[in-house]
Amino acid sequence: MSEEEKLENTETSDKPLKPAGKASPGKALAEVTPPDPRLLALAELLQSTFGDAALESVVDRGMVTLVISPGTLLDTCQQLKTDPALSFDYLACLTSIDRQDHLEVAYNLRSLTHKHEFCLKVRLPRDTPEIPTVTSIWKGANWHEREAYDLMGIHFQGHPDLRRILLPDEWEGHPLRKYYVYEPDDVPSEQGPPEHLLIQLEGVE
Amino acid sequence: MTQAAQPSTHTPPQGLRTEELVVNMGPQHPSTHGVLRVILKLDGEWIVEAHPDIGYLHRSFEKMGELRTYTNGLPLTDRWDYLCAMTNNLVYSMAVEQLLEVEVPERAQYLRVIVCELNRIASHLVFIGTYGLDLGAQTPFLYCFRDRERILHIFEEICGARLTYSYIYPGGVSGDALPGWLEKVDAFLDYLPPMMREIDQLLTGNEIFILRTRNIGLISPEQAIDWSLSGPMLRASNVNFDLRKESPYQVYDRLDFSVAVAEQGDCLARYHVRVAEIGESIKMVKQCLAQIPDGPTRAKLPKTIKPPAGEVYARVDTPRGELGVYMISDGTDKPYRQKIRGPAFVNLSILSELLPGWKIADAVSILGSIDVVMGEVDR
Repeated sequence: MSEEEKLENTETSDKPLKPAGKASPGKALAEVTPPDPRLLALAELLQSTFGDAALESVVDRGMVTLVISPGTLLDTCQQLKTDPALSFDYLACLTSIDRQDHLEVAYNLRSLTHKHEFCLKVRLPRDTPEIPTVTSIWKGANWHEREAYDLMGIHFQGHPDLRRILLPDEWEGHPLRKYYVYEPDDVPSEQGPPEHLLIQLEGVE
Repeated sequence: MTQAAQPSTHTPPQGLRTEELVVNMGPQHPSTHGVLRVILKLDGEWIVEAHPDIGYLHRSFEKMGELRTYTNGLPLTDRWDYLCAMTNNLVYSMAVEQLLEVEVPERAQYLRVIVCELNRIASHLVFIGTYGLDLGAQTPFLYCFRDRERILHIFEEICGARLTYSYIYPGGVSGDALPGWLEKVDAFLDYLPPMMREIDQLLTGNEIFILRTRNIGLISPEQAIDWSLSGPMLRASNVNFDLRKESPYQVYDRLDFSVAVAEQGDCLARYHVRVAEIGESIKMVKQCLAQIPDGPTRAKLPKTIKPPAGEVYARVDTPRGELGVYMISDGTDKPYRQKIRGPAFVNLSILSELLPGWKIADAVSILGSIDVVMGEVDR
């Protein structure tokens, strides 16, 4: 948003808006503002531990993100959990993201010992979204991975029970994909999709 | 009088043939607190396998959120965990604020903590009442709902709604407390402790209740961490972790409270942790009432919220545990993606490992002690 737009859109109120950070994902560590020393220390620790395996490292708005390649996922996770300096023993969240040209899986990891957390990310090709499961490392990943399979169509290899979890077994497609169009049975095809679904198609082209 | 219950290692006597029986618990069953189906494989009275089947209440909030602006997405959050909608509002608002990097006025932060902790009390009262009901104690339910009703009245006065509040807003809260509202909260906090003692007498010391819950559904600390349990489920297994303490958000760092932890990891411990949390919440709200400053209740935000592109993971501690929102902005007025990490969803996933080895009657105790709200499990 430009500065003028911001001013125009602003409601009258008593507290001024803090300037929004210029950070955007994908920028290198040093360019990003404002750095929290604890987060930077963690980012450096991760960077030095994994070195070449880390494709990208970002500190943005209170979250350290480390991108690795899917091939090294299991080894990295194992090390994250067992390395005493890291000991990420708690998987807080697992998110699947459709970036349109590729898919992503984000693992929010936490250490209950060191009280630090960060976000580990892998990027997957859209056509063959396959990735090893981390249920052998954190059992809590089980349902998260089933959900990511159900709604985003990511295949977690070696998962003990990879079935749909929220949608019925006979459901076709994966609704959280950006190009997904839901066609209910009761809509005659010649009329096209109902109007409220057209909103979904905006901006997707 | 009674021997401690133990998971079964039981084998049928030689020469006797037994057959496994598959039983559907739910989806329409009073003790499943909504529409949850658990497929149980039984050997006599013992559970051999358990497969929870969820999704009956799925409303695809994550997809719906992508189609709505940041402001319009807020009312959806009320419907995740309908017993504690304030914390849902809070985590969503926090995610948007983190994306925007705005700070919320102090008064609004105090009001947020007050309503969230009151909501925690209300939610735990429902737990105590319905847990008693699950185990055959009808009376505590009525007492709990009587007291919860008072909290709902307090909420009705501040935001006009009893369950779906949409009170906590990106940037602050939707309105300041009316004159006299804070005094009403104070009066309620004085009213509640004697009532809690009443409930204690009815349930906490009840012999049948204790027999049904003590040493039942044991979860070890390692298991709890491995399965990513959170909230009272984690703390009842002797893991001292509370997001309000470890990474304080809003004004929790200015409040003096202790984290309720229990060692045993059984159903009774989970009950005790929740009862203790009510006491801590009363303490916290009291302190908020003493500290709350005057001032604005809303930060200055653009009419159209368009956060700069980026990703955040906001999380809060709800009565059920860690509620997280992983929100991604692409710079437009709608979230590009929002993942909801529901605490009950994750807590429930341990069921397939927890139930086998216990008797079928214990399944009700164990399931009740998880305190699931299916609206948030299925989202």
